[in-house]
Amino acid sequence: MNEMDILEKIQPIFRAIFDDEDLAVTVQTTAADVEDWDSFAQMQIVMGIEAMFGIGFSTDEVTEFGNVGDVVRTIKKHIG
Amino acid sequence: MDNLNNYFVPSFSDQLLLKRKKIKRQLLERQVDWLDVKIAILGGSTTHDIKDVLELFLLYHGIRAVFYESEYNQYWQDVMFDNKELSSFKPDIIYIHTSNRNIMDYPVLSDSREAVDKRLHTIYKHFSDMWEKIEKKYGCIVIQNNFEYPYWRLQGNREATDYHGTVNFITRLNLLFAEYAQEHENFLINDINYLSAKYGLEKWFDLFYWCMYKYCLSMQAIPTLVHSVACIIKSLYGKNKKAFALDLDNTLWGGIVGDDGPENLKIGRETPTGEIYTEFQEYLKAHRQLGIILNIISKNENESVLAGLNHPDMTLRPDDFVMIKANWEPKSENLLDVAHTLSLTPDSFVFVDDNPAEREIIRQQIKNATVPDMGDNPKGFIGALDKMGYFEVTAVSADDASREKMYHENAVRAKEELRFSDYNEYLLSLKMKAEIGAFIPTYYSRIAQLSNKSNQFNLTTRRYTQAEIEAIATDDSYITLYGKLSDKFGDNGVVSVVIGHRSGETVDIDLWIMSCRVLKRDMECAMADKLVEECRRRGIKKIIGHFYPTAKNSMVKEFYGMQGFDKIGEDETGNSKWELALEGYELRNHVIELSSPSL
Repeated sequence: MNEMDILEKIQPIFRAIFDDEDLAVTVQTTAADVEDWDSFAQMQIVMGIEAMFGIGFSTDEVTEFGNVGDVVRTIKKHIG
Repeated sequence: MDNLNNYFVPSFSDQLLLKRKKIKRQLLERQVDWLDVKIAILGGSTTHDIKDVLELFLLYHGIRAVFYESEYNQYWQDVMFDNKELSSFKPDIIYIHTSNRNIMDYPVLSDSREAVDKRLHTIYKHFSDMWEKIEKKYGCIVIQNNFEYPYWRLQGNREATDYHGTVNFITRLNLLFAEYAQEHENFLINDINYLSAKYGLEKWFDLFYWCMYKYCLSMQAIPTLVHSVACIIKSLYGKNKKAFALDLDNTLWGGIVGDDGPENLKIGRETPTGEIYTEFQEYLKAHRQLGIILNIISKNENESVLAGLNHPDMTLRPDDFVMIKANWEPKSENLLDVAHTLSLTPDSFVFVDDNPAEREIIRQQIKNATVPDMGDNPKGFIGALDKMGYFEVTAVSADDASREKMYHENAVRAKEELRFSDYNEYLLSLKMKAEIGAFIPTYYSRIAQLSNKSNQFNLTTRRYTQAEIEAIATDDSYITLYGKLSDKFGDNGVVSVVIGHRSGETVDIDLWIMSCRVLKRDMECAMADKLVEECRRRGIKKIIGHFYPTAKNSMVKEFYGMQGFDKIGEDETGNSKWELALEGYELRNHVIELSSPSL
């Protein structure tokens, strides 16, 4: 799975959490770009992704997430 | 919309957490007579998502909560140092979400027995001081987590027996919490010790969520925690289920009695399958102790059903059931009929049937019906019901315990009624006795419970907590009445409540409610007579009544008119105002004998 595939796959998680059917995040999207994206929303995103791919992030990885691109690359690393 | 229910059945899916905003919107779109409750969550760890998810579960139960949330780990300070925001919030309920992370002082192996005891009592006192302060200052309900076991054990199994052991220490602390609960009616334990064990301690705690976000449990476990808290709260507000409507074939026994014959049913301890059904029957029978009413709705011939129920290996016997419906009518019609006969709402029944098609008919035909998915294997029946928390017990008032007997009596009364052509003659034959008087402490809990669960015979639909009832009872500016009714078949307990407040020579009725199980017995007339008597004694000249319409109380729209009040106003939403001049009032009750309140 390449990075674009991963991005497409995780879009529904963002849409569900922010309750916005039209939301489309890109690799450049950061927490500041989306209303209500606080540390609790971040935690839900992490949980949703972990459940979707059956992976577990490390605390370092989560702490260093800067934008959605970082998240996508970390997922790619975990699923190989 | 129907699938909204699925989000609230354990074990919960991640979707509940992820789609919470959408689910909240959908829950709020439902037509519900919302009950508004103020809840303060005082946390010993992060509570943000716990509050979010608790809001959903309460909405699901028809409760619209507003929340106060303490700052991180400020649960104790908020109470002990009188946080102004908390005091002005005036909570109905305080939920204290603490965990074993809040035990700051565990024993070490070098401690003497005395040193360990001292640590134990220091921690206990830290909590009990807070509970006592809450009782004095807020007088509200307290829901307190007990403690879950630790996720590692220094000494292994010995942790359970050695007094230094964390498992031993936590067990003792939990027993102290339980003792406090036994002595304080308004203090309830949320048993996370059991919850975490059932959920699996290994999954309950996740170091990631603790170190990243200071959650004392994993995100995935939050719905399980919150479901438990919500069960306590909905029980406090009278939203428990009251009865079972049970199928027979392949539900209470293995096989089909009409086809296989009663002698071939799988029931009893002789075969593994029979034993599974016997265990399920024991589970159901135990609920009679809570006053839960067992009924049968079966598509069968009556004779087959009786033959099956009289099978010598049955745990449940025919007299365990209040109503037995055996016919070929749709089960939804039978359920409505049973509900009507017992004066219960159809949604207060838990419908238990192994057949998905029968369950679907009930779901479609009866609004808000309670129809658990029983799964496809009888070994799972107990679990499918037990996890739902339908009958969460918060206060076994004397009334609840005798409720089941009363429904048996109601069934006999209904038969009596048929023998009389003149209704008044029937009422006289019941030899009714009422005890009506001002609120007394014995009944505070029952009065609050009645105010929260009466929807139909309820003029204003105001809800009261026990603390509010107590305050009103001791305030001279209020006139309060409770009414108990008994007859030759038995005691109905407290069935009616009136609260009025006085200004000058006028009394305004804030609340007038009556349990539907005593409808058409002239109890309302006996209450009116007593109200007038009490008003006259205080020199009051005029009583003002109010009717506020809801989706459920149309039966009392003209109630005040029927009691001789004159309508003096009505607004565009149907709120009406009524007036009764006391001069010339004539007694209305002629069938119930009054006895003086027993103290």
